[in-house]
Amino acid sequence: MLRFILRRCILVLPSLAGLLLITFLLIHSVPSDPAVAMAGDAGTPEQIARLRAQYGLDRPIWEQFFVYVGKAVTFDFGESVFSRRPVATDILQRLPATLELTFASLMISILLGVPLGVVSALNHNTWPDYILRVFSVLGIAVAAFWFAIMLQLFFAMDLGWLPLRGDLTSTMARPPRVTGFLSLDALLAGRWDVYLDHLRHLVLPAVTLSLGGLATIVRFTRAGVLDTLQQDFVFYERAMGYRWLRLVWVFILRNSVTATVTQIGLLFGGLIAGAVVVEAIFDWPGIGSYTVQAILTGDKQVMLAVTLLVGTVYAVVNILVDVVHGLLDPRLMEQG
Amino acid sequence: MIPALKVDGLKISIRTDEGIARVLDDVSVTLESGRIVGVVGESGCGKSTLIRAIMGILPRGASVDGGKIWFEGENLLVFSEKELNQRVRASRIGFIPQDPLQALNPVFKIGTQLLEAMRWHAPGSRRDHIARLVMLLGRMQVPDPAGALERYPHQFSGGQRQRLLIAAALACAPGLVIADEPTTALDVTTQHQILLLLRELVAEFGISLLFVTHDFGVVAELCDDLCVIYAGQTVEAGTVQSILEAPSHPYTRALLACHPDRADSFVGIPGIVPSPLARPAGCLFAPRCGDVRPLCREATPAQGRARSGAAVRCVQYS
Amino acid sequence: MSAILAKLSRDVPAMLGLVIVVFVLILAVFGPLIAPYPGDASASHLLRRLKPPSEAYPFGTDNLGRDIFSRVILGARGALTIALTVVGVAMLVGVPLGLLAGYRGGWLSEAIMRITDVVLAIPQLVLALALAQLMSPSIESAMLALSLTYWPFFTRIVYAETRRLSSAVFVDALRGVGASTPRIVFLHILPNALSPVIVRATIGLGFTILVAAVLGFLGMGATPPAPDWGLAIAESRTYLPRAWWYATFPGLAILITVMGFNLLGDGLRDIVDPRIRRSR
Repeated sequence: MLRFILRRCILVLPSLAGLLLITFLLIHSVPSDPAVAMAGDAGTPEQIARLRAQYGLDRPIWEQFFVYVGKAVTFDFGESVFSRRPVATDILQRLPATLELTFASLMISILLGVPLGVVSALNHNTWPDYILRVFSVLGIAVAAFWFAIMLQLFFAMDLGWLPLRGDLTSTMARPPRVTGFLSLDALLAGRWDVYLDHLRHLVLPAVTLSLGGLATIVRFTRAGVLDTLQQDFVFYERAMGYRWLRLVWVFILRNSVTATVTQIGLLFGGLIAGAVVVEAIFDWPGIGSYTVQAILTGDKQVMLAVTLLVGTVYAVVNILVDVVHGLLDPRLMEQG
Repeated sequence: MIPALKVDGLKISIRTDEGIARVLDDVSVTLESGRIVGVVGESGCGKSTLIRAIMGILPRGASVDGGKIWFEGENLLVFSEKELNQRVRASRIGFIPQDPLQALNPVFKIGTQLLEAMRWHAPGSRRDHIARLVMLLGRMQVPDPAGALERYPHQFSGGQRQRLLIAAALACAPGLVIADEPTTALDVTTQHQILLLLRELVAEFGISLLFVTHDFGVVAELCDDLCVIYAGQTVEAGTVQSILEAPSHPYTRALLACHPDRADSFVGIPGIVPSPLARPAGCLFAPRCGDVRPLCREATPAQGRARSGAAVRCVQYS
Repeated sequence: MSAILAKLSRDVPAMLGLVIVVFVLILAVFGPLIAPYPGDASASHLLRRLKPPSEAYPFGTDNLGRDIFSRVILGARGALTIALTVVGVAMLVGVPLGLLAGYRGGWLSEAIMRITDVVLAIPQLVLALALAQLMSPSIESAMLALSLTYWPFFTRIVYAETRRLSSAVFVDALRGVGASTPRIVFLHILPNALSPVIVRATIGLGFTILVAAVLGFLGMGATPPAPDWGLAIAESRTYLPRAWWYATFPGLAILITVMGFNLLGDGLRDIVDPRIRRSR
């Protein structure tokens, strides 16, 4: 098991190296001189030269690359133009909110998507299946930012059931920051009012963000179950008198979710991308809204850091996916 | 004494995109208690549908158009899915599948899979179930029976897996066991051992065995009675001895003639089994029959009796 | 071709997709002739701003008094132009790379596929945003950024197909009779690898429209006064909840268009490859 995980980690290293190389080339393919940009309109040639030396821009390009890699692995992404603080600090501060949001929406996607996919497959080519298939196409085709606005319009503005934006009612005192996750911090401080208010704020963004994943999970679970139903062992297990519900939800499902688990891993990229938009619309204080701020203010260091972060998260998630595959199917674990 | 299983004039058709396929068209099989009946036929003649019908697990779009399946005095065809699952499968009818690797769920331990069936269909506690499985696996000569329960299907050899599944079929102490070509995937030596084992188990556990195969050699080695199926119809039925000594139906004769143990050269029966979608008028075997007469192409032959005592569906005997 | 159409006509959702796609294509080509107020692409009429849907303005008017119905119709051209350009460029880059990597093998193939993996590891939107940000925000840089992030999808598909085909018996036979490499690759392998590419391209068109709308929404794509669907939704936010129609109809236009491409793509894929693969 440990060897299996280690192997996966090593396999990911070339991808991470490639990620660093590509982002580095991206920055250097831009014709504009970053030192000039940093010095601003009023920058004197001396200032520009000093900035160049400070950021190592006067060295040969391969040396710059190693400096860049050195900084990246020590999480030194420089300073955000916008907040005037180290980018790494900002990201660390905002990461929990994004994790909270993506986790909540992933939970919604899985807890709804897997059962709906199974129901769809069991009712293959009958009306429940048709309805679910149409919804899954809709879920992929809908623009998240538009859906978010529609939800706001209906549930927040029109009905007034849920808050419009933010992660907490502004009049509420925030609990002391311990973990950074507002929901956990509220519980640790014993502030149930804050906890519930936070959850109310979480509903609309999480639902919006879950949409694409929900559709994908329904699709792949359905396909997986349909595939498994063709297998000989399903007939054998029925002939052995397995109870239908247990047959479907334990014995068939575990064979069917391999593709779904892969998709959940792939979804993570989409979730983070989706979070950019969703957080911006709902003013959720995470990495996504930070990214949008960076875009609007032209904060290149932030964009770079976020790109690296997302690529790394994606790689880590894929290791996790492989481990889950190994746990689901013992044959994979033995192959190493 | 009533037979352990009596399939009587079973007719099953399946609706497909290309039309209605009459997969079974008057199949009758009788299995006397404590005996072994071999059901023989080429692939595509309805053997697996027969098994599915007895287990009550027919594919989508299938409908029973006629006939009865008598089992311990009850017609299984009137049972609901729930009744079949609670009162028949595993507990009273055991099943040995054709390919044990395909039939076992690859991601669950052997113990989990076998105990799942016993959990609903065998008396006693989980501890009793484990004890019985260990006893059965030991009887099947599976090495380290207790350890075997903790292993996954792919960790056994083909012969071992087949022994596991024979144990599984007996786990809930059924009176009837249905075996679907259980030795086809095995090499000749292992096949012989498994057949010997099955022969012993019939007497030892007091079961009756319905054994589906396409191989007359296996039938000769194992079975007491024989039922030859062609294109969804029983064409000849009787004791193994009588039929092998004096096969009456041209199809039986043709099958025997091309069995490698008997044939002088490698010859098959010319032609193919007619598609269940488009069946010829008259005798279904007429297009391939070496002894065909004009009458054969006109009317479906009725069941007759040959001198050997076998029931035969051929104009020569009706 | 006619066989594909015959199969497609039996698949109701795919036909629906085809109808939508054709409809959007017609709007894109003849938009200015169909739209009741073609001048509203750039004009402004401050006297009739933010009017709710009525007979004269079926989708209402926006903050500059422009007919939203007309602007939704006019927006089809922009959306399709972006989608076709992006998918076209991505194919031009991705397909040859896939052929090269698949047929050649060796370190070159290894390098190409590694880069493909890395680019695929970053969510398209994030990478496109980073790229568009490095260039100056405009519709052209949005298109370039999207193309630069979409080619790996084609590379991966073509690579897989080429690997499969180049070990096929008929390619061995061709090599045996002395056919040249370009001849084998372009005349024999490419046509066979084309159907999954077409499926991916169809779904990619829908997906690109979606991502382009997001870029427009974030101000990294189309610039005012272009009748861009994403941009319109961004502009509408200031006027919510009063002008609900302002955000609703451009969003529905995106939804229906993307759904059309997805349904058609899924239908085509079912014909080309009956096993269900992923779509985005």
